[in-house]
Amino acid sequence: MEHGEPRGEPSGAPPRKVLVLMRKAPYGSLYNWEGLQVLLIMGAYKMQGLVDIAVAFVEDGVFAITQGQDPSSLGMKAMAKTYPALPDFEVDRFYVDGQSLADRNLTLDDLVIKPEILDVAGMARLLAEQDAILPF
Amino acid sequence: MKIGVMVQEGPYQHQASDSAWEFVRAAVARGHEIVGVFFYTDGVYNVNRFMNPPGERVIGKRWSELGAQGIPLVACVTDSTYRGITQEIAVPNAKISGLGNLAEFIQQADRFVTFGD
Repeated sequence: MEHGEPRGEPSGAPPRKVLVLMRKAPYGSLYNWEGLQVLLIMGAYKMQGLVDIAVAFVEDGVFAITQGQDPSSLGMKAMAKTYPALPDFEVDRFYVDGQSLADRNLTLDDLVIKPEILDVAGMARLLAEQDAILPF
Repeated sequence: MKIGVMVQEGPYQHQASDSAWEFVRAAVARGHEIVGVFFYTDGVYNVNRFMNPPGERVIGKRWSELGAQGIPLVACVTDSTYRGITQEIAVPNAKISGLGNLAEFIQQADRFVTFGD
């Protein structure tokens, strides 16, 4: 198939619930960036009613969405800029682990988006209700 | 059960690739169906046909053998392009194709399992 083009007819089955789980800080590895690419593709499939997509930030993954990133001296793109634009690509459910924020002395005001803060039990529920979890 | 698999790391450096291969083999032996293996990020290196470790397991060849059993093996085209992996370089039975294949595998699978770092 061609890159990124959804194919096939909607099956009538309920959309698969897919969660991208961001666990790592950006720039040290490409995990974050690749997770973003998956989110964009899944957004296209959500438009077809084939998946339901959400993203959760846990552990060092919360650094993916902190304000003030400037990786230009690394020769890399500022990834955080992409997150506020995700709703335009049908990705609009954002969650963050409250303890991971607190452990890193971060609050919602430090972030480029305003994800819903979940406690451990809330995060466990979110993970449990998914059909597929894609860790990055 | 229908199972989809994603591999996010390359051969030899990380255990992820070996674990994924062992998992797929064991799942098939137990009668499960693998709807596809998607090689993402450095995972695309798993389909390099020029792997030639003296006296060692040849990871690319092992994947190719699973592909010969009818398990779809797809390496992300964008990540392959970044890393110089082309269809000519890929082992038999592996296809270089788009990220949409990942979405297709997720849709087809009852369970989806990721092997990475």
